[in-house]
Amino acid sequence: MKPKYRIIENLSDVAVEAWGNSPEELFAYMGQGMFAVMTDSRILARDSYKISIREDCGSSYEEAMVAWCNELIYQFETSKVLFSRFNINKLALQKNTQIEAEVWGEPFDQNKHEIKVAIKAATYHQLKIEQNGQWRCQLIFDI
Amino acid sequence: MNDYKLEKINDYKWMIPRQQDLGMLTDGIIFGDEDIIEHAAREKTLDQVINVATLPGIVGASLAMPDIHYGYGFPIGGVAAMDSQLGVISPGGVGFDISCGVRLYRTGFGYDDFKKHLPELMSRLSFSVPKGVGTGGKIKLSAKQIRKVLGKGALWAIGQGYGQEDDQQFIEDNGFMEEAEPDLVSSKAYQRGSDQLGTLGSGNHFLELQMVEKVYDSQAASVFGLQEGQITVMIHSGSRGLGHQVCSDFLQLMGKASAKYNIRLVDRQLACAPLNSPEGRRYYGAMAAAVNFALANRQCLGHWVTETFTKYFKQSANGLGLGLLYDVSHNIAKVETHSWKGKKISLCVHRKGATRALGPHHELVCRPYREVGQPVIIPGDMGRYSYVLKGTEASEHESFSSTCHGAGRMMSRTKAKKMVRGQDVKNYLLQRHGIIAIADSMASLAEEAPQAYKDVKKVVDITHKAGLSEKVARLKPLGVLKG
Repeated sequence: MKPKYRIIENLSDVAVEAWGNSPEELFAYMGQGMFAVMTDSRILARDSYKISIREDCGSSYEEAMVAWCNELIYQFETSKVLFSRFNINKLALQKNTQIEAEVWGEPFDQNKHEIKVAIKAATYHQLKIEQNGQWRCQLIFDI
Repeated sequence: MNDYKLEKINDYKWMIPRQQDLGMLTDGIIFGDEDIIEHAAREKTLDQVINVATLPGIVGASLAMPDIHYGYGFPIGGVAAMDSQLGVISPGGVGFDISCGVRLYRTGFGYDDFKKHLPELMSRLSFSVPKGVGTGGKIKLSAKQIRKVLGKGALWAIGQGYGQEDDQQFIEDNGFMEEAEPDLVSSKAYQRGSDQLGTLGSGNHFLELQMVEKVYDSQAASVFGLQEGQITVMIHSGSRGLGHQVCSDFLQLMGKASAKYNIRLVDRQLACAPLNSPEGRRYYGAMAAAVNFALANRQCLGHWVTETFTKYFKQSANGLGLGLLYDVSHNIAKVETHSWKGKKISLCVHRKGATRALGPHHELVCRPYREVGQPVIIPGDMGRYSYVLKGTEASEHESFSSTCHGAGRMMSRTKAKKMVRGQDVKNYLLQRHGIIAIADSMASLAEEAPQAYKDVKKVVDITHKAGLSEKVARLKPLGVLKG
């Protein structure tokens, strides 16, 4: 399967542009792109993890996308797991943004994975999610 | 792209006059020469200076230091003072790495006596200082212990035996921000910080053994305890994942708060709330707690260095002349008292990639340095030099006692990696300059290659000429440790 994201390197940060046929697919590819920024090493989709997000952050896809990416950063840093496959089962934008996802990956192993970039956070800077036949998003990460 | 006017005030100071159609509430002022200004205009960084000028309650100009470059929302090198009664506070004006900063230790060694020990010491430091991504530190903290760190900062660390009693006065804010509210920091941030205290991190963070290569101001250098040929140690690190999480948590919250208080945002990343609102006060308390985590982090890192030296030389820190010169934050917002239009007023000064630089006789400069002003520590790159400066009285009127913080990148990480391999950087530094570089990842060495950075000398010279702070000494790297 061809990756549906592209990594854009700026002077002091890095952006990921992702595309999808649905918002759910867009979120999944953004997750893939984010871990591709962090490492070139192969991440086996070995173990499955459930991710559940409930955030009171308004009702826009942009806010939900930042919450999703920041959740993945938090999961990596605290569980020391790298993810490579993402499936969004639920994406609801009401007052409480809800995301239910199943993600697959494997524990970070220094002998196997080289982390080339540590991502600090997803930013809102120039963030835009648009639908023009396909869903598209470009998100800048602080590294 | 905004359509704005740019006026030259003098060779090192430029102004973007307030324009109502851009929503500016005040002027923009940028300290720099023609090159810096041209570059900032081309990169659209001046638009970010303009955007900051739209924030409610801004006092004085939206300022940018000579190391200005493009950031998120605020420019890097941006300084904005907000009226503490009527103004806003913005997490984007502090940045993700809250209290990313630098500390400098002096030692009693001269280069000639020290150079034979350098390889072995570097090797030992690479084991004793936790660094890189995904590796925890030597300190595992329970939530209860983190709470104490968030409340007391470097003071907590000193109390645990990480460092010396005397260190406190040589840290900005005496080692901790008392406004910290540990309970306002999220459990996610607690979890991210639980194994990261006393860890260097990655990216542009580093630990460096250096030599004082040149003294410019012998009186100030003598007060700071520096002389040519002397060995120093510099540490650059921040609040790690705990601070990143605090910033992310509050950026999300501030998006709603901006709407609630009818603040029109020209950039979502500038989200803010009145400092006097519940949301503003909560961010300030949580940010201050993250600052404390960073101060404790650098205090512990300093202790690993001291411990390595004392074990190797089998002498006490005092016996080795090893002591903290000073510790400054580069990403911070603080309520401070400043002189404005002949009156003392309370301002919340945002410094995003800028350093507080108090002049001589200021009561917040610790007694040993009060006659000459606060030390300012400016890291450069690992192939050239870093600088020690001192605060000036002039900077109080020019920039609310703020100055530059570093060099800034000239080349993206990818471009740097395409240009050089990590191993080549390592060999070049050693063969050409005698600098020992040790890194967790070779890619990181390539990304941080000296040629990927602007020459910090230029930034420092302009800062000096603009009167924002004055040169005291130049430090040459001898050994570099990176994540």
